[in-house]
Amino acid sequence: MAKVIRTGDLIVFAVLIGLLALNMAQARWLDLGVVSRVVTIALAAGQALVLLWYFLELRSATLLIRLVAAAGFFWLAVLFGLGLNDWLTR
Amino acid sequence: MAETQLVLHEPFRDRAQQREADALGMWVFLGTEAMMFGGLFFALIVIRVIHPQGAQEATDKLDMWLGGLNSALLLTSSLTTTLAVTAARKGARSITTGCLLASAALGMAFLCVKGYEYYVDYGKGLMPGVGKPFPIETTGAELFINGYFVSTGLHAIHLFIGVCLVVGLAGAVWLRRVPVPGRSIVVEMAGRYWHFVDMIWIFLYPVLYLMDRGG
Amino acid sequence: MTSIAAEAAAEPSYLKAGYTLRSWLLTTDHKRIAVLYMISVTAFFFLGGAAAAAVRINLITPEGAILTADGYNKAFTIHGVIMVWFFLIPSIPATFGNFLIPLMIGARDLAFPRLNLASWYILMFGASFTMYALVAGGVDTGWTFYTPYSSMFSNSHVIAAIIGVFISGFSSIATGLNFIVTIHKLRAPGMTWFRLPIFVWTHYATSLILVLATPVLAISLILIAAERLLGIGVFDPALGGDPLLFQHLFWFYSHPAVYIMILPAMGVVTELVTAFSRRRIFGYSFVAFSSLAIATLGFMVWGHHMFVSGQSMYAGMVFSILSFLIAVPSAIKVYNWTATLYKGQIALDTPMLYAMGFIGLFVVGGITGLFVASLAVDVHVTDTYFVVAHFHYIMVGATVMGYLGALHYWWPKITGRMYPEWWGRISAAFVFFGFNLTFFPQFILGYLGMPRRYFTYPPEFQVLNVMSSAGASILAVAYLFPFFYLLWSLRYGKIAGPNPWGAAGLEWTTSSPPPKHNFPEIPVVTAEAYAYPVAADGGATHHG
Repeated sequence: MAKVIRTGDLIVFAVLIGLLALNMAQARWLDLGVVSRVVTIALAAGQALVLLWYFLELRSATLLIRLVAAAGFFWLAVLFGLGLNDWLTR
Repeated sequence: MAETQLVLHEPFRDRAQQREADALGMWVFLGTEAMMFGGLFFALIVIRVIHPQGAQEATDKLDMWLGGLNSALLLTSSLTTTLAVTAARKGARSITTGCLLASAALGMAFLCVKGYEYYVDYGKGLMPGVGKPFPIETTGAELFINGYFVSTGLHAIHLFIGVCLVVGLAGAVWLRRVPVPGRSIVVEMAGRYWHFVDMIWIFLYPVLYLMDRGG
Repeated sequence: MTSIAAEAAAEPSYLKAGYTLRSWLLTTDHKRIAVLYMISVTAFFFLGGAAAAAVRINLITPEGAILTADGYNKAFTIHGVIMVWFFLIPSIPATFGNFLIPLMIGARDLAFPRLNLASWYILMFGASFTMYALVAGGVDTGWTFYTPYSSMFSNSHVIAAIIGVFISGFSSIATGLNFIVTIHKLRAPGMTWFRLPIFVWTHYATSLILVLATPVLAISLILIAAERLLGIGVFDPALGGDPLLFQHLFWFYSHPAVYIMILPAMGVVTELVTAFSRRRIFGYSFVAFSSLAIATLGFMVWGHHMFVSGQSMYAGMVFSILSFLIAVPSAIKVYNWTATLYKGQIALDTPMLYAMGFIGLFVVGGITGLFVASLAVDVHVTDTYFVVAHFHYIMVGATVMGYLGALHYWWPKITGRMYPEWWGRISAAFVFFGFNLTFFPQFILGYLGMPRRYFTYPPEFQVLNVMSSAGASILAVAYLFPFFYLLWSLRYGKIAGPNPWGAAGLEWTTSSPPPKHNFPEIPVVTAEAYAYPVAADGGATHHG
């Protein structure tokens, strides 16, 4: 068992849990007003990036695979950007 | 040993090509899943934008601690999945099986907590169509809760598929149907899917439970 | 090149690799799966065409000749649903893309052959739900399934139709994924990106749309079903939902879907124009990259379907500007095809007639697209026959022309037989004439204010409507011609050599029809695409 547990993985796991705790704490006890939505999403995005980079191994992936992952985010940004553009300017 | 050799399928010229194609195929598939959940997230965010008050009151009805517990369970399952992949690459058959089963168990634990949560929601009258009348009058609150059920439901279906997949894979690794390290790529691909389902929850949790939470 | 063909003759052709029904229904050969797709989409095409015929017959008289209001709604809905999802979307990619991409890039098959077969079964499974909806009494929402009508008020079989479309979406996704991986990973040695035929580039761009847009359609259909069955309220204003949310999600898929239909046809036309003017494509890299530009920009213009829906003025302006932008890569393609013709040795065989027809009709459809992209003009023509004519010029005029052009051009490769050239040219001319007679009057009708989706109309519109219906009958006959003479040619057509057109491209270096594994040995590519001139190799009538 010992040979498959790498310190790096444990650190990544700790960071993921830490960001989760931070997000829960700010939602429960901090009143950040308008920026709270941004903070919440930013912390989640941080978790997602850590997950992608280490556990989903984008760190060692080919350029092509990284592009596929980036393309997903790009197209989601198009959906959210141009879509919300409607409701935010009505 | 013949059984550790990768089976080369028809269109491929060599093993490296097949590996790369499998990896790319998996990532493109995850991209399609991301777009599907993306549409759902978009709907949830729009509801929050047009009904901030109703959505906030609805958020306060959800139990952020149960959701948080579930987040921790899934993140832990991602760790065990990573360990399974490492073990598979090193050819440690029993450790791979064990770690995969641990992931599946954590996934099942998530689903149990989720089921309990639904039961509590039912008691509060939040569930659409059944039980007590909806407790909040403010426009948008019921809508938001319905969005919560659709998105967590779809996520739970994905997780359940993942659990079945991982249990099956654990058996196959144990029985040497999927020999490691020869075909560790299968474990790797299953791991990709698992992490992805975790990542969906990483976004669902704050969007549903944390954003705009009042006192 | 002939030596490769001679060696390939050693292995039996894919058509002779087995004769049982089982050998077809359980095949993983991309060529056989393409034939399965071709048979199915042809059936869907005639089914959707029958519904169109009902619509056009009804509109011969102002008070509606044969259908009730309800029957009319169901007829145009079934026409739209079948034509869009079961003909246009799979038409060129799933048949010709499937058949040709491995051949063109020098591969033995697609990357995931079993997934490829599964995609056909998924389409059939989805179609069976839609057919059930049709038999059980029809759907009356229009192919767009707009809420809240579809989710709250329609008493027709919306759920079955939606499930059918939802399932067929996974077929699209599987095909797109397979193409992307194949084009990235299975190109023959020496087949660099800039040696790929443009057909492969446009299918790559199409596949991007298939995998990125279809999932969003899936989720919007899930939401409609949930709304209809459980009343979750996302699109119901009474609960605070917004019907426009559906339109945003729906058009995020359905506008790019138009490019799923047109991009493959653009690829076909590039192959035809180069082969029949015997020239390299003018501005290869511009044509290649304009495909990707269309695929990307195609995702940023969906709001132009919603100019009068109540979205914000500002959003309307942004979508209008972006819609103008997408005309640029489309125009690049048209200019480059035209420039390719310049000083070419042009041969007007049937496929080339279709290619020329494509360019003409695409330009009309594209220019009128600019009209409706302008906010002010669009307010006047929204939901009129002007829009109906516009999108039929693109989706039928251009895409079906491309499909028929491809069918004739690659027919000898697929079947090993030539089609009768004279009949081919006659029906190409009839298609072009019939199409214009059907749809050009609709531009005028729309501009005069005739709204779409009504089963009656004021008497002053009758002359133009009769013209349109007359054109439709010519079009129907013109579509039946190829159906019969192509079937005839399977038995009596002249035997085709490996390269009857003298065309460039790896698919013409192997025998007609190709052996099961496409090439006896994986070819090594040393030249660019469209390295003309190439000697013709038997079968065709015109090249000496």
